Amino acid sequence: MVKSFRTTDRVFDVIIVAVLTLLSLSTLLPLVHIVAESFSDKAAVAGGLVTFYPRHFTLVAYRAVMSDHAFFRAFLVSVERVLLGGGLQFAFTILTAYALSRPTSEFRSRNAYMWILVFTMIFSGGMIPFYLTIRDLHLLDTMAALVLPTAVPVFNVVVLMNFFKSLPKELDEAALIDGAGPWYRMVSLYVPLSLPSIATVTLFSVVGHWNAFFDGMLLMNSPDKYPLQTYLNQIIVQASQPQSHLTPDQIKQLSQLSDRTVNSAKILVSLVPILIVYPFLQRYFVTGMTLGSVKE
Amino acid sequence: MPKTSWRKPVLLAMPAMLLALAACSSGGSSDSNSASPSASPSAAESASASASASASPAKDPWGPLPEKTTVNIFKVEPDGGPDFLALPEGETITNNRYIKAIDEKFNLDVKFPIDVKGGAAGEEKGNLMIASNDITDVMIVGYNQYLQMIDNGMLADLTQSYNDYASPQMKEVLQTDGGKALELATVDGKLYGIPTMGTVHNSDPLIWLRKDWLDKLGLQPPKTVDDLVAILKAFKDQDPDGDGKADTIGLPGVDKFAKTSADGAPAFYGYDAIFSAFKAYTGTWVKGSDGTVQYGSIQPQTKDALAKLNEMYQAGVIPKDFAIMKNEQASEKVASNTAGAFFGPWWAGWDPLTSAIKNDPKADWRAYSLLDTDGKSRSLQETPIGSIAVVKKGFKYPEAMIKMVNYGYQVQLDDPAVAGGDPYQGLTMPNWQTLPVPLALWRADSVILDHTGVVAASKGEELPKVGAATLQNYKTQGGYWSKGLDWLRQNPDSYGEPLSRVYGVDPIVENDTEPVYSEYYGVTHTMEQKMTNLDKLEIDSFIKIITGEKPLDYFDEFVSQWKKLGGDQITKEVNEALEK
Repeated sequence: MVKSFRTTDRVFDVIIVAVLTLLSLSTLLPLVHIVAESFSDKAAVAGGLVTFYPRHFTLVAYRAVMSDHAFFRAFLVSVERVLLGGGLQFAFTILTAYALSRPTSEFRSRNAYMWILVFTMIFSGGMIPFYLTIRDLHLLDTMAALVLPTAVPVFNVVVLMNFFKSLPKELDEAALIDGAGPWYRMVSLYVPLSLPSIATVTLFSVVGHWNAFFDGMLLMNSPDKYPLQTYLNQIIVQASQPQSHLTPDQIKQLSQLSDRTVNSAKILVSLVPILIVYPFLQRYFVTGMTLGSVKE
Repeated sequence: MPKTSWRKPVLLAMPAMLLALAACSSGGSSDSNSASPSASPSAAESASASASASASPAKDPWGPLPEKTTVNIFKVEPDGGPDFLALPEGETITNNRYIKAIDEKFNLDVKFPIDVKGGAAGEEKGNLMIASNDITDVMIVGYNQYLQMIDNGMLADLTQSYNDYASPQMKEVLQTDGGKALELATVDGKLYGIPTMGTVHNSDPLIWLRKDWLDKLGLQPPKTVDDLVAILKAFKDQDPDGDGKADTIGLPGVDKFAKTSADGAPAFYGYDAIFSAFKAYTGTWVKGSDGTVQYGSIQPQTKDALAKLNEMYQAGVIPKDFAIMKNEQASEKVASNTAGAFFGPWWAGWDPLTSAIKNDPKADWRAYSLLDTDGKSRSLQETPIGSIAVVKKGFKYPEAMIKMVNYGYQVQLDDPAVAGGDPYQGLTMPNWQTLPVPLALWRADSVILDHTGVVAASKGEELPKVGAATLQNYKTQGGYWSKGLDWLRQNPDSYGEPLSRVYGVDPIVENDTEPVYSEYYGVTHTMEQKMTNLDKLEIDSFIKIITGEKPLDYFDEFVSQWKKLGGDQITKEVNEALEK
């Protein structure tokens, strides 16, 4: 009986390990492919001869990236956007989630506010009205246009609000009896206890801001202000442009544009900041639990 | 609602325009012929009546505007890094010698309030600006956007400004396509923009083959589709690269293998040449036997072509996954020399063949044309109208744009040194994309002309009469070509252009390829709503027939489906539009 249970257990383990291995390979291998392409010779890449290891190893692509001013300018724009946008989202998420986590007995119109927020999650005005609104607010071509419209990420608010709600009510009451006001409770009780959850939503907002490209294309009026992903999207999408009405200049450009090695190198360099951010947030995912704070 | 509110002022303005038209045409003739006593008094009268102050001396294509004027231009920067623009140190696409020269020559202060990078972003932003009725003074738009803007009354009528201010050189170059582009740009007798032309033969799908493989297998170059199929079978099965492995394929394909109504031109790696060989012109409007205009994709010839493609698919010379191949994947097959044959335009020498020759310097790529069922070479052409420079309605001096284009044309093709400096020291052609109004006014016949020029230069013969920059390029490329194919293969970075210009155009010249045009390039009301779905139906049905998922007779079902789902209505609208 015990033995047979163990065998099924082991079979189950094997299946889980196999599935997880496949899943991680399916995300890892494309990345390895990009790494290999970035270090390979251009003609070999164009011929599809590169799979998981570089062919005719060369650093030409990285040299090209390093000398590309537009790339670094876009990189800085993105860093600025993440710091500003991430900071705004951080502040607004916590403030909104804390208020909305209060029961209706304390915050009477809570449900009305909740509905307003959820409404924006489901319905949106569409691209052209969005553009017109930003234009009429005179935000076109400014950093504010990229960070203000998403300053309150509703999904993150809901996640954090539910986490706040799940914290033991007794802690809140204990603090209240000790004389802590709402601000004090939020800053010194709820936020420290919710670090895993806050780390998660912060990661969402940082990655979200880092990866957003469409609003940059829509709302910026000069390429100098493009964030990195808008810049990358432009250099990678252009390969699929229709190929009619080409002039000799464009034909020449086309043959150089299909430079996948440089594009791969740019993609890799653009991944670096996110790779750096992850380990720093990682530790919050395992610590900060409220275990043992309340005896029931 | 917006339509009606726009129409009125246009109607009111019309008599005034007619007056101005009469005034200016006679004014123009009095310039060249001073002794025309009968015409000039009346011209002066009507000119003063229509209050056009610019009556006599200001009709100079190269003259300055009467006052300093700011012109806002929507700039779409080309894809690629700054090195493509080849501007001297310190100059950028929005601040360079051309922009300064325009200020000095025409009293025009050029500003770029909206500037985007890349064609895709440009189209997106352009649509947005049009949709929100918030356009700049001068814009470059596509043909569909152009028609839409006219419909919404957003554009200034340039008929008169064009007649008065376009330089003779620009007027001449716009006739190199037989006036097709101007004709398409003229809506209800009025011209609202300066169009670029389609370049004749620029997209003709040729069959590029490895001559060394042909020789090795003892095969002759193809003339017909059947010749080609035999060659492809041999390329696939008889180990032409001699490595003892069955690793070669027949013909790479691409997901856009037939032209649909939405495409400007036959696609690279597509099978348009096979359709043309059966005189089937998919995605275009052709003259039917009854004299009306019909859709090319639903004609019986298309069925014949599909039968042949199905046969090729069964024989394995068309890869199983052709319909999901992207351009890039097909390109890989050629660059890695897995495929010794592909359909591509004359300029395939640059890309992918530059990569192919780097990977296998022994390769000897040549281009050939396929003949159709009449024994003639015919090719579908790209849309005869490219991008169009337009002026916002109400802009005070619409001729400012025309003057900028005059200047641009002079820089591009005439004589860059005269036009305000030659940053290239005569080495390469100035990049027109750095001009404030970047309009690619290449001669529509430049493919053949440049071919002739390069060949003549390589033999030291007399060169055609062209601008200084073009002439210099003939000499450079002709020089490379005269060093021979072996030298070119050793120097692959110089290989692309001479190979394209000579071998790429040879078959077009030898077979005297006849250009085929669609009868209609506009967009009708029902097309707007239904054509996307019809195009999808078309491609899906073609794939099913080629792969044998459905029998050949499924074509008839497709045709009736197509007609029922809006095709008949569209055909009716197209014929009505053409009768107008």
